[in-house]
Formats: sequence, C-alpha cells, structure tokens
Amino acid sequence: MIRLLRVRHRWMITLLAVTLIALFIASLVARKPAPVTPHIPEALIRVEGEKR
Amino acid sequence: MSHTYTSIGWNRQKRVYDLVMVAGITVFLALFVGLGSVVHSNATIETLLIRGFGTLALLMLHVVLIIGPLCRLSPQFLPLLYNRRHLGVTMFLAALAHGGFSIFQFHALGELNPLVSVFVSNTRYASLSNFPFQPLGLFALIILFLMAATSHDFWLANLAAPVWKRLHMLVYVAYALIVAHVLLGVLQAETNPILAALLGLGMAIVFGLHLVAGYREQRLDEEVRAEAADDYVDVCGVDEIPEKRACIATLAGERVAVFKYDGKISAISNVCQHQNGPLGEGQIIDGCVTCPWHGYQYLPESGASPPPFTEKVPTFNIRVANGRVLVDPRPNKPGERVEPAPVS
Repeated sequence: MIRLLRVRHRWMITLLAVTLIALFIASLVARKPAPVTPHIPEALIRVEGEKR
Repeated sequence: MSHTYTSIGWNRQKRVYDLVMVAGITVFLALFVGLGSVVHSNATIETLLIRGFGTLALLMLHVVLIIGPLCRLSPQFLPLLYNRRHLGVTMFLAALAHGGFSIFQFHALGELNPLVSVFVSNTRYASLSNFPFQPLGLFALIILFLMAATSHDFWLANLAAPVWKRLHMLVYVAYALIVAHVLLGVLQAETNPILAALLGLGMAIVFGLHLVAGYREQRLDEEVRAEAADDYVDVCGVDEIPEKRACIATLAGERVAVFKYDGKISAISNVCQHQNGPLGEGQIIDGCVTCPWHGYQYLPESGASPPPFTEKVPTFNIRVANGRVLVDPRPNKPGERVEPAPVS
C-alpha cells in the first residue's frame, strides 16, 4: 500500500516535471519581444513653441 | 503526539521556528519593497506589495516542497520538517495577501463582481503570451486554502490519514498552477532573463531533489533478500544494527523496521500512523520507538502507542540465528504483542 503510494508519487513528480519544463520553454519562446523606445525621425519631432 | 486537541501545541522548538520564519519574512518584504522603490521609482506601494507577497509565497512554496526530499536524503534537515505546517500556513497567508491586493487593485473598481472579473476580463485562452494567468493563481489559492485549513491533527484524525494525505498531495497541483501563473503572467511582461533563470533554478531544485530521493527509495524497495526454509527472511546481521536504532528492510513490498535495544530485537512496520513517517529512521527514546518526523511513539514489542494514546502499527515475528536477524514477512495485527528475540 505504502509502496504503491511511493511509486505513484514518483510517476506524478516525473510527469509534473516534464509538463512544467515544456511549459517553461514554450512560454519563454512565445514571449513578446521586449518593448523598445520607438525610433522617431527627427523631422517629425516638434520642439515646443516652434512653428511648423 | 496529542490525546486532546489544542489549536497549537506550543513548545520551545516551535517558538524558535516561528520567530526565525517571521524575522525572515519581515526582512525579505522590507528589502523587496525598499529596493523595489529605488529600482522602479514609478512603482506604487500597492504594486510593490503585490509583487513582494507573490515572490515571498513562491519562495516559501519552494522551501516547503524541498523539505520532504531533503529529509529523505539527510536527517540533518529533520528540524525543518518538525514544524513545516506553520511554514505552509504562512505561505498561504502570503499568497492570500498577494491575491487579495491584486484582485482589489485590478478587479474591484469596475462594475463586475471582482471574482467574476478575474475570469472574464481576459478570455484569450488560445494565446500563450496573453493567456489569462490570473485564474490559475486563484485556483492555486483555493487549493492552498484547503490545505492550510486542514493543517491540524484534528483534521488528520477526522478525515483519516489516506484522505488527508491525498488532499495534501494537491500541493503539487498548486505548484504547477503557480509556476504557470508566473510563467504566463509576470514573466511575459518582465523580460529580464534573471527572473526566468531564478524560476528555472527553483524548479530544477524541487524536481531534482524529489527525483534523487525517489530513486534512492526505489533502490531500497527493490532489494532482493534470501528466504529461509520457513519463509523467514534474512534481514541483516545483529551487529549491523546500532543500539536503540533500526535497520530497514523491504519485505513483501512493505518496509519493516528492526530495532535493537537492551539485548533484544523487535520488528514493527516502518510506517508511522501519523503522517507515514519512517519509524526505522528514528530511535528508541524512553523505551519507545520515536518517529523522527513529529515524535509519535510506539512500544517496540507491540507496535502500540503507550497509554493514553491509541495509535498502533503492525508487528512482525522475528528470531535470531547465527548472528543474523530473520523476520517473518507476514505482518501481525496492529498492536499485537510479539516476544522480542534475544540477541544471543
């Protein structure tokens, strides 16, 4: 009875480890790229008070 | 071991354990909020507390999960196991603070019921990077609540050990939900690789220790022993058992603890009735086999706890021949007295 519990426990841990490692890799691969400061052409930047 | 129930049976060890735990939590939260406010100067105190309690709960859950296999690998860690329940309940409180603050901050200010909002505010279940991670945390919190609410010998006795044990094995489901909650939540927004590396390290430690400890247990279970003509099994030499300690053997699939004490030898089941602790890794104190996990005691010749306690474990017939200990693998009824075998 106790031995059966131990065997079941080992299988459960192995299954959980495989599932979570797969999720770990998949979630990092699917991650959106880090947001970067957008490059705005200088011509489009208007300084305050400056006329168009 | 208790005959009547009190909310907490305080003793010096539990007080020291809890003091160290509370001090550690206070220092962690102070450092997290203090450093967080410096590094992320735009972050509000609510955000820092949400992240601080969440990180604390995750860290504590890892500690709770590795205590078991660490104790299987080395008895040095047994003091950590003694009061693991308090660690588990405190971890639930930290998770509750994280969940409570989060639900209040992100879901309580709209027209919907906050708990309904957790489930309907994001329904992109087909997307991994935008997956609704908050319900995962809520399901984990419900499991942790059930475990924290039943973390007492009263519930262990009233639910019966098998049901209680199954309920508390749900901690692994809660761990999976929480890891998914973190991977699909904060780690999608925070792209610092150190955070992912720390979570990966935590998972590697938890699963690595469990698998190493499990492999060692499997080897013990699979040891083949020579049978004598009358079905008695040769377990070990008398000299191999230290005084007031035991050797553990697997007979007919179950483990037996063979104790040597005061010139006699007795064999009882290795499984404590309290939480399946390994009796054979304990020692004989005041004439009783004492479980190394929580101190439950049994008389070695009968497997019964001394009065007024009522726990009983099976005994095994035993004899000594030519300096070897021979055990009948068929267990007697729990609490049935067996005459100890004299050493010589």
